[in-house]
Formats: sequence, C-alpha cells, structure tokens
Amino acid sequence: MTLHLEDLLKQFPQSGFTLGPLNLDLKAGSRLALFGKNGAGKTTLFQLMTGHMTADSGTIEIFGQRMNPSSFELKKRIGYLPQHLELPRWVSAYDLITYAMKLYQFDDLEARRKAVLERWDASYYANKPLGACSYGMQKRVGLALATLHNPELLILDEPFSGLDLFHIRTLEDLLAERSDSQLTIVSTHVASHVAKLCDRAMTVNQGRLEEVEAWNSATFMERLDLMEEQFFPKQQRKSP
Amino acid sequence: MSIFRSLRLVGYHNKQFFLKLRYDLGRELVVLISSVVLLGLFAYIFRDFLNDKLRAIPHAEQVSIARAFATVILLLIGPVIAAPIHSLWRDEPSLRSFAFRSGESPAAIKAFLLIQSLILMAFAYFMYWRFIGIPWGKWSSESVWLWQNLSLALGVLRLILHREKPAKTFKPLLDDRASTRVHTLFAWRWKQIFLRNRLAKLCLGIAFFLQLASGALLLLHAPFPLAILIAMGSGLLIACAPSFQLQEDMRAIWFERQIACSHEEYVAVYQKICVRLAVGFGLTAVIIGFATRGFLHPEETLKLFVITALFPLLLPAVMFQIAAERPSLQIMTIALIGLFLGTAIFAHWGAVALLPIALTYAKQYQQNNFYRS
Repeated sequence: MTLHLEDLLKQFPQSGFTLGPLNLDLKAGSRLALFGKNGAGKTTLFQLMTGHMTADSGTIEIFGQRMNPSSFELKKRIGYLPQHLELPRWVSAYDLITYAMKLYQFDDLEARRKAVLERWDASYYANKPLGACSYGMQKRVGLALATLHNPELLILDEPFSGLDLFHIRTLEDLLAERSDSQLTIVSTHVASHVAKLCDRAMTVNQGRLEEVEAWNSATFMERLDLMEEQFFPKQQRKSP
Repeated sequence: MSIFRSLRLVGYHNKQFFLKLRYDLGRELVVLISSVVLLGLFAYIFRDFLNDKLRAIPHAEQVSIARAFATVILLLIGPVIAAPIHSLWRDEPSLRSFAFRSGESPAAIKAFLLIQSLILMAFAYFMYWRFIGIPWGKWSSESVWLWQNLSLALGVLRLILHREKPAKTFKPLLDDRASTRVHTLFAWRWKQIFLRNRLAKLCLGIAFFLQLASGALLLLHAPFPLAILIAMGSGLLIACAPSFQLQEDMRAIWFERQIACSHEEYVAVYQKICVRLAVGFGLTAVIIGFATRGFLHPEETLKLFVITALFPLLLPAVMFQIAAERPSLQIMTIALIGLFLGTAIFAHWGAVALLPIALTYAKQYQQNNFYRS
C-alpha cells in the first residue's frame, strides 16, 4: 500500500473543527481527486500526509513506513505543492531550483535545471527575484519544486489556481504522464481539470472522507455531474 | 467632505490596532512583564557594580555620554518609525487597498495616509522627547533642529531602501559543485545575508561602523565602559542579521520541511552562521581595541571580543523559543540575556562559564520546535 491512514485524527480546539478519524488506503498507479467545501479539511489532510502537521492520534504510513517528518529517505519520495505558496523573495527561480536539486543530492544539475525550467516555461524569468514575479509565475516554480524529483507520491493542493490555460495544459500533461508505480492526489474546485485525469474521487465533508461512488466507470460528463452533486444534492437544486 | 471620510479611516485604522492588541494581549503582557522583571533584576544585581563604574567617570563625561546616547536613540527613531509608515502606504491587503477597491476617493485615502503617518511620527517623537530626550540631555534649539531633521532624513532613507526596486536579474547564488546537505543549507543562508537580504546587510554595516566609532572614542581616551556598551550594541546588531534572515526563511519554510530538514540540521546551520559572524566581528572589535588602547590592560580589552561575540551566539539558542518569524521578539530576548551576561562578563571573567550553561539549557528547551513553529 502506498498510502495508509488509520484512525487519523486532528482536532482544533479553538475553532472546534475536527478532522477524522480517517481511514484510507491508496495504491500506486491511481490518481485521486479530492473535493470539498472551503474549510472542510483538505489542506489539513495534506499537511498531515506530508508531515507538515502532527496528528493528535492515528497512523500515517507511506510506502510501508510511518511518517517521520525529518526522514529524508521518505520525503524524497514525496512531492508537495501547498495551497498558500510562499517562496523566498530575494532569490530567483534559478537559485531556488539549484538549491532544491542540491538538497536532493542530484548530480546532473545543469541538464535537470534546464529541463525543469523549460518544462514550466520559466527560463525567461529564471534570474528575476521571485518577489518581483507574478503569482502564476511563482506557482510554476512551486510546481517545478514539487515535481523535479519525479516523486512516487505527488500531493498537489489547488495546483490549477493562478495558472493560465497554457500552463494548465502543461500540468495536465505531467499528471497524465505519471506511471503506474506512482500515486497522485490533487485537490481542486474545478471539476473539468480532474474529471479527465483522475480515476478516483473523494470528498472531504465536515472532516470525514467519502468516496464518490461510480466515479471510475463514469464518463467525463458524468463525472462533472457527480462532482456537482457533492455540492448541490439533486433535491436541493433549483431549476433554471 | 473628504477630510471627514479620511478621519473615519484613521479611526478604523487605529481601532484595528487596538483590537489586534487586545487579541494578542495575553502574549504581549507576558513579554512586557518578563522584560520589566528581568530589567529590574538586572538593575538590582548589578547596581553596585554599575555605580562603581559610573563613579569612575567624571561628571562632565557622564553628561556627554548620556547626551550621546539620547542622540543615537533620536537618530534611530526615524528609521524605526519608517517601518510602520511603509506598511501603511504599501502593504497588501490593508485598509488603504480595501478603501480604494470600495470606491473611496484617492484624495481621501491620501489624506488618511498622511494624517496617520503624522500621528505615528508625533507619537514616537513625543514619547522620545518626554522620556529620553529632555531628561537625558540639554539641547539648544539649533541642536534640536539639526538632530531632529537628521532623524527624519534617516527615516526617509529607510523608506527609500524599503521601496521595491524595479525587477532586475540576479547572478546565481549557489554553484553547481557537489556539497553536503548541511553545507547547502548553510551556503543558501550565508550568501543571502551578505548578498541579498538588505536589512541584514544594513545591520552588519552599522555594526562595523559602531566598532570603528568605538575605536575612535578609545583613541580620544573615552572611558572603557563606553566601549563595552558599544560592543553590546554592535553585538546586538550582528545578531539582528541572521535573525532577519530567519524571518525571511520562515516565509517559505514549507520547502525545507518538505525536503526533510531536521530541527538539529536547521539549528546547526544557524549555529555555524552565528559562530562565523561572532568570531569575525569579535576579532575586529578586539583588534580595534588593541590598536587604539595598546596592550596596557589586555585582559580587559579581550572582553570586547567576548561581549561582541556573545549576542550572535545567543541567536541559535533562542530562535525557536517564542516566534521564529518575529525578529523583534528574538532581538528583545537576546538584548535582555546579552545585557545580563555581558555585564556579568564585564564584571568578572568567571561569568563566561555561564554562557555554555545558558546556551545548552536554551537549546534543550526549544528541541524539535522547527516542525512546530
């Protein structure tokens, strides 16, 4: 099992919000879309999965190992793009990607850097301070950081926001290229982005995970309907 | 009338400040009370020692030193008050941008910003003259005019430094040579402190200038405690440089966490940075000390090294104690601990033994806070 959550629980006493207890098993090769209303707990779940937040109780196992936030062997197999992307202001994309590659202990820095900058169409602003780059440009650098080591588990929190159509296509191509030995989890509010890419979908509703039934066998249009139904159950829909 | 609308915005802005103060009241009160208690304790413990040192300085010199410090503080008010004024005019999101998007007239917004800036300046300078300027020194009207305007000019200079520069390109910060993870983490921060982080560079520049000023004063046979006091000031400024870099780091700390940087690695990197800064600037302090005082009291001059180095050495021990992203709290903590230890070392060399004890205890206390901060 690539990702295994067992009775995972996180409570926020100040706001009264509780995520979990969650149980989930995900195998390599699947692409999971995660939906949910704002504040439902998607980002918290991602932060727990990636070791950026500690759970109150329960277990997170990734590739058969318990999550240890400071295990390099484990973390180098995970790629993560946070929802609220913050990048250092006084460095360039070139600097940040070099820094990341050196921390990942890569050898062929020049070739890899060139490839990743070209893939994300970032070569033309690679030497500009990130503080002077637009949100979309920074987002592409964030995506480059999350994917440059071709991780086995890729977790993307709202990856499409801020991207233009051209770069949305780049991201869709990248997700489509991921192999059967890799697991991808994407959260988004735009159904069409994941309806054609993801073979499984779940919703986070009041801190609980629910599988979207029939997603796998549904057509593209049916998937859009299925997702809409998660937010607007049929009995609540108003006729136009 | 747009002036009434501007005044209403001023009211909202200040109400927002007081609401925030009320929200953080518990924490702010703890910091305030601890600081007052520590300062009181400091005065109580070192009262006799400090009085002895003060008595050794002729009255006329005491007056000039007090006046010099009052002047330095006046000069600092300008740059310090420039920071909130800059935030007021430039920060996003803010009341200014919200008012603008809501359709408020640009004239009313500009008047609000001007009134609020004037309120901030008036408050800061009133407090200064009321509690420091007038009690600590005698000022002629010409000198008030001169130093007050210089302080304002330094504030304007800080605003200019703050201003976003038009996009330019950077030369690569790191080379492609293979290195260990810890070395990469170190080089990333070390080079930013010296090449990219403007506040850090400014602090180091002023610290070096203070050391030169201390040398000049010693040449003029100024009392040695004054050199010690300047060494404390420059040490604190040296500690500010990595502290501002840490604040910059914390903006994007998700990436180091994602790449499995451990608490120990992260603290070790800052330890290495601070030791280098401490040794480098400590050596300049002591070289300047010996060059200007000669070798008459070598053990006393060597204290310049320890006292300058003390402040940056404290940073890795306090960086994850309260709020890593708030350099003001770290600097205040370092200033208080440094004042205690620095004065104790000045009083007796034996107090150096307190330093490793304090550092070890503090490091244990903040264990694993890297992933909690």
